[in-house]
Amino acid sequence: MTMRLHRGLAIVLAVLTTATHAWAAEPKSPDAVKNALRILAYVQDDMARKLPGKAYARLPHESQEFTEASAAMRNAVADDAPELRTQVHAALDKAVAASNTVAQISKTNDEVQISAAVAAVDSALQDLNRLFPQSLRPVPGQLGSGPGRGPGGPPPGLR
Amino acid sequence: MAATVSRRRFTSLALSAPLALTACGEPSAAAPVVDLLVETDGDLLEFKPRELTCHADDHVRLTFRHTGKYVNFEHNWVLIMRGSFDAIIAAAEAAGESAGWVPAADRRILAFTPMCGRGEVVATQFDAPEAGDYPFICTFPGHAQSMWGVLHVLPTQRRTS
Repeated sequence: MTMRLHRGLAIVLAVLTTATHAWAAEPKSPDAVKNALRILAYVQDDMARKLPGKAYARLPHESQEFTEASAAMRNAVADDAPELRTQVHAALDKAVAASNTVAQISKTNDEVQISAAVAAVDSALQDLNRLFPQSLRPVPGQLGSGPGRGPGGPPPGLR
Repeated sequence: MAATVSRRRFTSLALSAPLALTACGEPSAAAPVVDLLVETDGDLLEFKPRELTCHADDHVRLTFRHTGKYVNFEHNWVLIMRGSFDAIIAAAEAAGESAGWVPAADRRILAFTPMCGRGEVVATQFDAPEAGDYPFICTFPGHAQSMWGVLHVLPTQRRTS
């Protein structure tokens, strides 16, 4: 009984894994795509960090940086098939539009509205990430690569 | 490809280098001069390399290069005392853009470069502090959470020559 259940789970897992790979396209320049996704994630992360301190005046600047960062992704898929390019551009345009909304909403100083707008950028970015294989997507909370990696500054001993 | 130094940044560099020398004192004739290079990791909010090494008796000439291509982030390189990270971040934010996001005359700051933008190069020089590990960060608001590294200062070298 247990054996049969395990075999069934294994088949379901295999089907899901195959399906995930089929949906996520392998780009022609995976390194460039990986780098572009990380740049966008860093900018979004930086944008979100303005919320706890209510540094809303900085958000239009972050939004501008997000638009600049989107150029890295457009370049990264420039040689890919039109179908993938179209999908990526659509997801990217949605993320940039969400980022522009953050800049506009920031002027209201309304914490709830601004938080929702920043969350919408994150959500649009996740949609973009899902167009690519898992191996190219940034790992949340582990953007850094050095000692004590990740956002949050130096480890306690140095901090 | 060689990085260019804009006129504004060159002026900033030219002004900051003597100030840094004044702050740290003239390098003694016997002080070995060490050149260190640190860059941004392209457009990512990271330093590359994230670890630098010198000796306690070195006079360090540090060059910081912004290798970003897409995002017009501004960055600096600021060497700080251990245990001062949170206080320096708060002080930098309070100092504001007009101060280059660096609090004036703060003893917890051991050395710093001016801010630089894409494709630009800035520099500073300083006498290495006593042996130990010292964090370096970018003090632009929000960047230091991921943009930091460690300067390993090794004990003074005994030189025979």
